[in-house]
Order: sequence, then structure tokens, then C-alpha cells
Amino acid sequence: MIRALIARLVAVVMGLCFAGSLSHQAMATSVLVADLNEKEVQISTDFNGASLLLFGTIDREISDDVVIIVEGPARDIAIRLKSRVGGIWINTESATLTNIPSFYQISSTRPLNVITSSKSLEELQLGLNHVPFTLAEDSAISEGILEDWQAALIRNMEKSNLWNQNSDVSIRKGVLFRSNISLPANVLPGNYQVRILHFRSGELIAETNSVIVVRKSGLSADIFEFAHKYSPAYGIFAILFAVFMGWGAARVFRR
Amino acid sequence: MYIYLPIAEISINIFVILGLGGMVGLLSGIFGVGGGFLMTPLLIFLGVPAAVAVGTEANQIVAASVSGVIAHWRRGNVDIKMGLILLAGGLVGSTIGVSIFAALRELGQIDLAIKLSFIVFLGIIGTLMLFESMRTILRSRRPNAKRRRLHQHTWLHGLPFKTRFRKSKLYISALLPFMVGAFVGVLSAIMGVGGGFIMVPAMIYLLGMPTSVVVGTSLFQIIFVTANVTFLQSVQTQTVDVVLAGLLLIGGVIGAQFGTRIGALLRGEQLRGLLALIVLAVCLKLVTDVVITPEDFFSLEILR
Repeated sequence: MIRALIARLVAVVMGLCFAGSLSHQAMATSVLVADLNEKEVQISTDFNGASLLLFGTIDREISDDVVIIVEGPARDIAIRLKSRVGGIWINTESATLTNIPSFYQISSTRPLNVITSSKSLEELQLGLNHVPFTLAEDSAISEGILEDWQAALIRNMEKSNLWNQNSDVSIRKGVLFRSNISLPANVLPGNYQVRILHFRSGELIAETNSVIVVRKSGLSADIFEFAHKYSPAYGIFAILFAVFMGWGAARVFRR
Repeated sequence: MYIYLPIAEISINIFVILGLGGMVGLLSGIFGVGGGFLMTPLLIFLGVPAAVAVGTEANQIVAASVSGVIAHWRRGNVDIKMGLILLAGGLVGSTIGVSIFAALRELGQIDLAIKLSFIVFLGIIGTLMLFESMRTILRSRRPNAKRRRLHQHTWLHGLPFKTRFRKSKLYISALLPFMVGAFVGVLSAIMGVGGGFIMVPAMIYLLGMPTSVVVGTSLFQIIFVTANVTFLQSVQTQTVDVVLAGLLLIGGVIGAQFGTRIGALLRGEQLRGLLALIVLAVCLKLVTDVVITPEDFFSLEILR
């Protein structure tokens, strides 16, 4: 497996000059090429998360860094704040956030604040704290505590392993970089946008993109479709199935 | 070995699910309760979304109750007439309950509503049952003590539509079991339970039915009420996970078979005392859940 990978990496390096089509915005100063060991993840019955390998090459200078961002399909998220009312904890305030990535992993060679200025991190929307925090129109949170809500979003998404920020990208021999993308078992199906950024002395000099498609497959996809497209039939099937199972069990146990 | 649940959209160890089903099935067989009052909170604790836990649990209780009722049926412990009237109420109540559930979910208060309902009902019923069974056990040790009357006559016995229930040896208004069925039906839909833990005490103390037919009759009507909830949740919220239900009920029906036999060996008041203790333990756990300062004041829900 590792040998095959090295062979593949070497092939990638050898083919650098033909690989222009892969790096969309490569500038004259950088040749950035990247690929994934898998581009499709199947959520089948035995799915328990997936780990993908992203690898590529850069023509590295001492001050170079690589940042890899994986962004899952956007969703609306309800965020609720509990407070104590008459001795019990109740959701007293809530807000709806729109277009929040259901998955967000950002990996880099060094911590983001070392790689570039906080101004450019903000402009490029890099880092968990720069994921756009958009409130739905009917949600009102007073300005002063907005940061608490944003921190809560980040904290809770990290806790469910859906958001992650790390400095685990390694560079070998100055040209080969690699990083793991780990999708937990609770990922949503959809297109996962992968962006690979090449920084030199704090400046973004090249970017390339890729996509991972996560889809349901096999029996679990069929059941999901059955339940959502033919709900009444599914309900009747569920009842008959339960009656049959219960009756069967009683027969088996009859002495 | 992990399995990906298609509707819950999470991955759980298959043996955890089977074990959970078996344990709750055992209790369900012993006491004639659906076991949902334990299963629903435990599923939520495992990370199953609350709505999916409630919808799926209804489906699983259908199977567990079918399996359980057959054993009682053979012993002639089902009062069908009483069961049908309870059921008529149950269908009305559970249909209303599914709508209330949807409304509370919209308000973001469904989790709290579920917990508070459990606390109130488990607390009241557990305490009542515990005292009653202890009194009975104490009295049986003093054989000279005065026997209590079969049941007290109150205004409830003045209601119209008086009906004779031969198997239960009762002559009461049919409105009474209908109202009990409807009330339990509402709770059954909101809390994701069969409602046996409320139905059984209501049948014993409110209707005055003999303990021997209570469990079988309760299981009989729970089958149809939970089937109604399964259907309505499938159509309205798509939260019934047949894979999860299937695994729970494989464990559950096996557990229930053993439970029914253990239950037949125990005496009525011992059975009720034991159930009371379990009910109070679950209640206490839920009280601490809503009273203790949470680790994080914020919570998230990814909307679909």
C-alpha cells in the first residue's frame, strides 16, 4: 500500500509538467499539484467514518506553507441557549444560522497565525473562527454576546468531530506534502469541496481544488429513499415487519 | 462491529443495540410495559436524534407487544372488550399527540417537554405503586388484618354507558376506559412510549381491573396504538428507522420471552414493588438531568 503510494507520488512528480490542468490558478512562481487516494465515499451499511489521504507536490522554499480546507455541504443550524428558570434548565434563547458548513476541516503545515497575517486569514476566511457566521433574518442576538454564540458553535461542532483545525500537514524532501482527511460517521452526504493553498512568506501564491463526493449506497440508501419517497407504504411495511418479527419470536419460543 | 442506521444517519455498535433491546425486552416481558420509558432516553443517550428515537421506539414496541401478548393470550389473560375500548381512545389520543409533538419540536422545546413529562408521570406512578405494594406485602404478613374492598365506588361509577366486562369482572361506564386510552395515547406519542407504565396502574387503580388480565390487555391495545404512531411518524416526520427497530426487537423479543416467564413466577405485589423502584430510578436520573448545571449552556441542532 505504502509502496504503491510512493510509486504514485513519483508518477505525480514525473508528470508535473503535464499536470497543468489540475492546478487551476497556478502562478508562474509555483507548481502545485495535489490528488486524493479516493474521491468517492460510500455510506453503506457498515460505514463508520472514512479516512482519506490527500497528497501532492510543491516546489518548496524555506518559508513555504500548505493549507488544506475541506468543506462539507452547508446546512442551517439551530443554536439554543439554556438558562435556569425556577430551578430547571430551559432553552430560553435560540437563533438559526444559515449556510454553515456541516463539515469543516482545515489542516496546515504550521499554525495558521504563523503562516500569514490575521488580516489575510480573515480575507481568505481561513480557520474555524472565520467560517461565515450568518444569522437567519428572524434571529436576533444582541451585539455584545454574538462572540459567545460563535464560540459555542465552534466548540459544539468540534465536539461532534465535524469541525477540526490542525497543523498535521507534513512535507517530505521539500516537495511532497500529505495530509489525512477524516470524515466521522455522522457526515452528511453531498459534495465536499477541497481547497489546497500554497503560501510563500505569508502570501498566497497558488491554489488548486478538488471534490470528494459522499453518497449513500446499498441497502441504507434504498431504505432512506423508501422512507422519504413512499412514506405511507414505508409506515405500513414497518408495522407488518414488526408484527411478523414479534409473532415469529413467540412461535420460536413456544414449547 | 458497527452498523450505519439509514434514518438516524449515525453509526452504532450492533452489539450495544442488541444488548439494549434484550435488557429492555426482559423488563417489558416481566412487567407488561412496553419498555419505551427506558428505551427512548437510552437511545437519545447513545446519540440517536430524539425524534428518531421516539418514532423508532413506537415501531419496536409493536413487535415486543405482539410477542408478549401471545403468551398472555394463551393463558386467557386478555380482556378483548376492554382492550378495544381502550384502543378506540388510544387511536384518538395518539393522533392528537403526534401533532403536539410536531408543534413542540418546532418551538425547540421537545427535549425538555419529553423529560418533564417523564419526570411527572414516573414520579407520581412510581411513588403510588411503591406505597401500595408495600402496604399489600405488609398486610399479607398479618393474616388477621381486615381485607380491603375490591374497589371504592366514586363519582366515576356514575358515568353513562355502563358496560359489563366479564373477563375483568367489572360493570363500569365505557367512557372510563375510553378516556384512559385517549390520555395514554397522547402521552404515548409525545414520549415515544407504549404507555404501559401509565396504563397498567390506571387499569388497576382507576378501573379496578384484576391484576391477572391487566398486563395482557395492556399489551393488546399497545400493539395498535404504537402501530398508529409508527404510521403517523413515518408519514409526518420520516423518523422511523426500521434497521434500528429491527435490531432492538431481535434483542427485545428474546428478552420479552424470558421476562414473561419470570413475571409468571412473581406475585402481583412483588411485581408492582419492583416496577415502582425501576420507575423511580429513571425518574431520579431525569430530575438530575434538568436540575444540574449543564456542561455547555449552548446546544446545536443541524437542520435538514
